[in-house]
Amino acid sequence: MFSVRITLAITRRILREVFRDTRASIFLLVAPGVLIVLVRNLFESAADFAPTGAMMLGAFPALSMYMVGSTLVVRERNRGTLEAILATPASRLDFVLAYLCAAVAASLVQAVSTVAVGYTLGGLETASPPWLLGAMAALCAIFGMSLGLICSAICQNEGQASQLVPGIMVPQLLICGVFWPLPVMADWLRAIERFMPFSTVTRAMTAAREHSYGGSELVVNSVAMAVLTAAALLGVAAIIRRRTA
Amino acid sequence: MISRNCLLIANRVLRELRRDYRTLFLFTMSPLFVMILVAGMLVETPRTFDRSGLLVMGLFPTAPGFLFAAFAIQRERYRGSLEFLLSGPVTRLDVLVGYLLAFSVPAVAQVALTVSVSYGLLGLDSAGPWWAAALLAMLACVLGVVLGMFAINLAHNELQLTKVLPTVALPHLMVSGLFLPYEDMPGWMQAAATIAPWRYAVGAVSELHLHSSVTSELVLNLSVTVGIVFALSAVTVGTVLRRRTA
Repeated sequence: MFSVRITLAITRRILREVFRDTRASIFLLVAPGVLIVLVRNLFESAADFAPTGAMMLGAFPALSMYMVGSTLVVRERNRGTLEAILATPASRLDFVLAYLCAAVAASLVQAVSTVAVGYTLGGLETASPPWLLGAMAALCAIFGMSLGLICSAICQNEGQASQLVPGIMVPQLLICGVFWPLPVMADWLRAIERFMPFSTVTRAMTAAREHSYGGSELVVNSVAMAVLTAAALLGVAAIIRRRTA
Repeated sequence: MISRNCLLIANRVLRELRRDYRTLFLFTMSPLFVMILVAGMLVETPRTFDRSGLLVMGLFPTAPGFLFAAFAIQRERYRGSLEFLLSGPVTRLDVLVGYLLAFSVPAVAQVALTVSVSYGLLGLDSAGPWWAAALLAMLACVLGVVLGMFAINLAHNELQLTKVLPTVALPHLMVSGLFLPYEDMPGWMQAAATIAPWRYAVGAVSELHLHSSVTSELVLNLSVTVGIVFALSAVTVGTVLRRRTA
């Protein structure tokens, strides 16, 4: 089915490729912190910032990993590297698992840097301990990456992939509660928000901030994220294949 | 400034845009869509909607202009058609003006749609007249196109661009005065805002929210924005739109 050695080899290659680009490193590791500091200063006090800040800890990793992920598979396919990989003993599952491993590694580094900035410079205070929000941030990032990968697998070319980001993510981001509190939004908007995949991120982070260890809301949304992640990755595995003729 | 060559380029870019339904749809419809979402978000607080809604309407056109101009020019450069153009009797200014003209056509449709729905159906209310808001939205679109071309300086290919754009745009958005007025920002943020090109466009639109007549503040912000458009165009012509030897 799959081999650990091949999976890890592909993982190493993906991580090397992603982080070799200085722009990607800045985007994944520096930009979240900068953004948190900026947004913190848009608010009067740390207490006012906490609801938005907690959501940002999840939303930005998810968004940034989505953007990185959404260009990866389409590039592998267009430049022919996917065909090359699948012509070797590597299976499609190896390929997808390698992307998952790469997402886990990158998201852990990102979560540590984001949460560290959030709790120190951002002055964030939450009912749950920071490590829990860090773990959630990593989960959100992996979730974002797998959403990006499935979008990327569906796209025909790189131009399409880059249009999906604004087309799919911006509306979800607007109504997920980061910009404006959910309870005062129009009913039809809240009805839509309930079914958006991205809402699981903000809901889980809000639950973790409000209650110690999150309670059932956190569990439900984490499970939903995990299920969606698995579904997206299986979808990628189903879509990519060597095209004969 | 508007030569035959630049009209030909505008015509070709427009044809390419028209063939690309997805881009055209996102370009013309996205500001309207965002306005409807913002109206839904701020339904309980009409006064906030008057301020934020006007800002979004007057400034959101920057985003699609930025995005699609950046990708279009990047493709032009990456696939070699820019080199090809410049080896003929086409000047670099022709390319820039051609792109601006081409993007202005769908921008007019986009702004007309957004302004009519916002003032008509969504109940937006501003002290300044609707046509002034529409003109500012057009200016925002032009600013977006020029900013997008300028941003190419920071990336070598289309995929790098997807990381460069948010890294540049998101912090820019935060200090622009959209969420917190300039006067209320801490000192270091004001310093950052001063060099953020978008802040002056935000300033101009905010004036329109409060005053029905032309204020000195409006004129100042407007002229700085136009100045930025020209300055960025000059830099873009010198850096992005050139044949690279060796």
